[in-house]
Amino acid sequence: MKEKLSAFHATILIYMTQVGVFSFSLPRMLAQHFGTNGWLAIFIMAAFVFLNTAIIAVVYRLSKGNSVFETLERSIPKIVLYPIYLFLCCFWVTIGCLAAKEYIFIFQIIAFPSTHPMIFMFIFCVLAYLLINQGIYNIAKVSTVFYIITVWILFLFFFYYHDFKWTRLTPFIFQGGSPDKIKGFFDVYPAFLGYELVILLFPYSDKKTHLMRTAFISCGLVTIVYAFIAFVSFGFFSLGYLKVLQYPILVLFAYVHLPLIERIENLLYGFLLFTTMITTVMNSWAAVEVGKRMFPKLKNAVLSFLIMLFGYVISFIPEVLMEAQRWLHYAAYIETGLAFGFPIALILLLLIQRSRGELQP
Amino acid sequence: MNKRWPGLLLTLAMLTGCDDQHILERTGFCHTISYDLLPDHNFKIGLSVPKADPNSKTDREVLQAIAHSSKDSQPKLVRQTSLLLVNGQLRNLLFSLPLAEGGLLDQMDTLSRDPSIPPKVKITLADGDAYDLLKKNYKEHPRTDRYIYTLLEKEASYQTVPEATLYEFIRDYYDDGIDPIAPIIKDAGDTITVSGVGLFRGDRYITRIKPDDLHILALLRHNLRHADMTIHLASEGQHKELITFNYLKSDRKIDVLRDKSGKPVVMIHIKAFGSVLEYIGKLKLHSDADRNTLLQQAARHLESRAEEMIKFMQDNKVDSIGIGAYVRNSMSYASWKKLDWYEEYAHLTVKCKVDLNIVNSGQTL
Amino acid sequence: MLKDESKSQEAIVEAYPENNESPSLQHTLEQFDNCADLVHRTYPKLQVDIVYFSPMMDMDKLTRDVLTPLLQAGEAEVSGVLEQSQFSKNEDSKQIVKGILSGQAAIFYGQSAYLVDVFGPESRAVTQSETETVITGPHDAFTERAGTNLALIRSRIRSSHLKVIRLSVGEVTKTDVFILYIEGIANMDYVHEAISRIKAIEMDAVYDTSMLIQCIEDSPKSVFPQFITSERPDAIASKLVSGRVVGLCDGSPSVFSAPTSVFEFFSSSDDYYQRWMVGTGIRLLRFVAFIITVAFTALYVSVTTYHYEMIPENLLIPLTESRSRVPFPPLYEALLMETTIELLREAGARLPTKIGQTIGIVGGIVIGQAAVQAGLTSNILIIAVAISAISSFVIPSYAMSGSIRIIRFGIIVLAGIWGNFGIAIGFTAIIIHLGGVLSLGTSYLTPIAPFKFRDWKDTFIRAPFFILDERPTQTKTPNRIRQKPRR
Repeated sequence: MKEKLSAFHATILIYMTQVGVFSFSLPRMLAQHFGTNGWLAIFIMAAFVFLNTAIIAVVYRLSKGNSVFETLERSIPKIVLYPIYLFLCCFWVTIGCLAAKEYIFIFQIIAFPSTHPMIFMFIFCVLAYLLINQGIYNIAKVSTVFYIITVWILFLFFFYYHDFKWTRLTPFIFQGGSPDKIKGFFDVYPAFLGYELVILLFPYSDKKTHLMRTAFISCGLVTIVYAFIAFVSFGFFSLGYLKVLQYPILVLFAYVHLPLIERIENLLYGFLLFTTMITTVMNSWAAVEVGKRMFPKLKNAVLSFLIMLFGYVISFIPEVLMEAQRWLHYAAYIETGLAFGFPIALILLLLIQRSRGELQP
Repeated sequence: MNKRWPGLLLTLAMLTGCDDQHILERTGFCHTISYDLLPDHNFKIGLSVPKADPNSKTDREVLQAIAHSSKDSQPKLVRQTSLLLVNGQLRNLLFSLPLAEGGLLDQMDTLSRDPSIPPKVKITLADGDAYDLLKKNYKEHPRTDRYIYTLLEKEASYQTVPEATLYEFIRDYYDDGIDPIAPIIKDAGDTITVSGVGLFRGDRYITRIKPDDLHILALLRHNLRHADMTIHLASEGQHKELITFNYLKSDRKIDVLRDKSGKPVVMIHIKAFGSVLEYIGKLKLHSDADRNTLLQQAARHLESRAEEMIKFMQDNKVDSIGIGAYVRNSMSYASWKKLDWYEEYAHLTVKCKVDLNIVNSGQTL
Repeated sequence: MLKDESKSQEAIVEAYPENNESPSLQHTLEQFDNCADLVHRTYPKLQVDIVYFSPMMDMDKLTRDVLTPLLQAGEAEVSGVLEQSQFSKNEDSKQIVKGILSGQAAIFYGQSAYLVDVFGPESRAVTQSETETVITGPHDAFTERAGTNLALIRSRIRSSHLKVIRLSVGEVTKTDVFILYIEGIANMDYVHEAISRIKAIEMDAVYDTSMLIQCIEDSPKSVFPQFITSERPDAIASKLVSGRVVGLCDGSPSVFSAPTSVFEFFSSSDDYYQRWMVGTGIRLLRFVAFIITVAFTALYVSVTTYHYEMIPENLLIPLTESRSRVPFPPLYEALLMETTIELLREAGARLPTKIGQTIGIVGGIVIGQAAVQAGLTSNILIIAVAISAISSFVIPSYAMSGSIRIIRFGIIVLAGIWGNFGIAIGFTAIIIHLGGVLSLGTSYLTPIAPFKFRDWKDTFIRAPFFILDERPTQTKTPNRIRQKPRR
């Protein structure tokens, strides 16, 4: 790796990884689980996200920015690590491809309902493969361009100014949602996931990247964006309406009415391909990183091809939208656990290594 | 770009069917759908599809089918036309009153489920048979469907007849503090005219506001931006006194207060600004004192009519101006849930306070 | 700096018996066996032989500088005359051959040989640029003669720091290539990189700069040109001053500069000669033109094929009506018209200017009108195609505009297959591709990626000059400040 990620690129990269298919249904899930003014729950979740990022920051500090795999391999025999690696590799690419599959399923609600989803999935995987092949630095560059192309969509939310009513927000906080708030928390939390991959970016950053600071900034950015979207949705739809809307964001877009183009959700949803693409690519890239540890001799292009192929095959399994959603939810639970568990395990490992004096001062 | 990928794409293109294509000229864009309830509880569904064929004599196709539901009618309608019928350009939905009395929820659910139907499609009620209204051709207005649509669009832009779209209807239906409304139109011989606004409780049509009172409803329901309004202060035989406000801007505020026994009292404040371009009466507009008297008179007049209208709504238990949302926001969640809102609403004290202002009175004194 | 010419020449052209002995007339004439344009003048009295290619000579100069002094001088004074500095004595016979090939006259006097530069073939005068016209600002353009071109640049940058390195490219043609940079402003890494890439070319012939740059680009497979070329000396001078490396190729009126970003192709020197607001507006207009060129026809295809919902109500009926007589699906209709307009463009470019204009008007109007009347296309498509074609010509760089037109076809096909999703796929593919393209080792997407917000004021807008106080970051110049803050 010649070039290191710059702070700006790293921020955008993490942000784009976090924003994905979950955001389309986010307001509805908030309404279902938290009820009135559910958008405030975003901030509660953000606290946990920041906590988690802080844990990763500790890992970064302790490992002095070295690759986490090196840390693992220093104390744990390869035989033990292999199954873990294999699991991580398969798991991450599965998450990436499931997100892509769900994106395509949602797209097919709007258009192309009778085309086989795996054809779209194929193109998606081909593009993702091309991008992964270019390495993390180019992924960051491309994600910056994607970010600039998609960020203006947020300004469209000012379009709803006239139909936004404060009275609809109600003064009640978290009333009328489902009683099981813990489940709600775990259902909504995956919308933030993506920041945990920062743990793999250690070797691609240096002092100037301020990697952990960028992770905090991008989490903050995601929090603000999500809170804004959810806030507008709560004031635009009523709580009851929001609860029955599958993908409120799509209805919001459909409502936009420009003189030359109507129903721009058709166009905008295409643009959201960019954010989903980065989510998928980053997860698959993580899988490739793990794969490299298992098969260091394999050429990078071959490895990423095999991994994308695996992801493509896996994404054949969910055949309908509900299934893809359910799968993605299960995967997201595991990923949430991983996001907390993996860095904590690393901290323990690093502390043991430090006490043994294995780390150079 | 790598040279191989375009080739690959083309190969894939062959795999992709043409099933999802909606090529313009082979597609019939439903403009308006009418729903009527038949005595046997089936639906009569009418469809107006504009035709763009320069060779055809008519400019639209009107289809009709009798079915159990709106989607059930689709195959029957498709059989009658050479075009592929799609809903993506739907502009207006016309429901007959008897159907609306039975509740529109089922229809609304189907309509909002279909992703191709725009959330901005209008909800309209028809006095009499909705299909007949849609079918009839008006000499001076080509394409009845478009005529109805532009009529309502214009009325909505002047805010005299409130706009009712699918999104607004469903939003108000699900919101527990407000009830939906929808304009009613009827066939008036050579023209179509707005014959009132239908008030709903939940998804059921209950009663209507007469056309003469529409501006009062508009004042009570939202903030006006540029409406015109004529207030008849007196009209007994020869003696007429009326004032017309143009470009009226209004600001509505609802406060919920508590009386001594803890019962909510609703205060509706309406502050309006407009220019007066017509006044028929004895007072002089340029005199401050006269102008004040006139405004007071007009405001009192509006207040009494507004309170009358609210009383009418309370008697019918329809909360069309959204008082519920304000009452709800003034109390705790638990006590709101315990409250039987419509019972409470029927006996609520609602007071109106109108504050009129003249921005200018035209070119002459 | 020069390569070992003879060795590579042997590899391609048939080998000549060469020796490194002192140059002899006999040997030189043998080398130019069967060259009808070679002139061999002998002056037995003076023991002088002059050998040159007559078509490459400036005859006035030859008479004035060589023949007259030699003839006026007596037998005894010849050697004295040849001591003058314009006659360079050469010991190497290869150098003599090369000198004659590059238009010098060889003078053999006794055992020694001299070369004198009397090169002066007919060439085009400095005229206006045909491809890059501006309204305000200098109108002169480069010609085919590298010497003239160097003069145009030198006269604009009167600095001893402007360095010129001569290279030779083409095993047969031995074309002169000059690399220019300003010492202290240009980053020497890029200068060395450019030189080493040019040296690495092993090709028989290079005729034009645009051909040369295709041999030294980072991604030769890409659709996008990675080095910008220009015919305008003022534009090239500004590139030099901003720290870029510039290359001239003898025989070509265009000059390349590197490193380049994709956004540089959208700026023209006109922007700097207009007031800054006008310049900014025009520059933004070009980016809009880019989007229109790439997406407008594609959007027509996508909307008329799949996404009818997006058409406003008032446009729906006219659009449907105009489509109703067209016998093909929108994709074929669009491809047909796009091809037609490309044909017109190409025909207009190949024909003499006056006929070309006629073809443009007659072809455009007549074919367009007739196609609509015959029901081959809808008139709204004609508008879409025409607007996107016009937009493609707004882009100042002809190379870039060509690339964009090619991409447009790809996007149209994708739109015909998958509608808006296809357009999104197309854009994704282009951006992923652009992310991988480098120009002389720097990112092609600068200043978006790597993100350099400071550069935006001279990329997307053209800020007033007092704000443009720094050179672009892409050149990694050691001397960033270009203007002192205004008091």
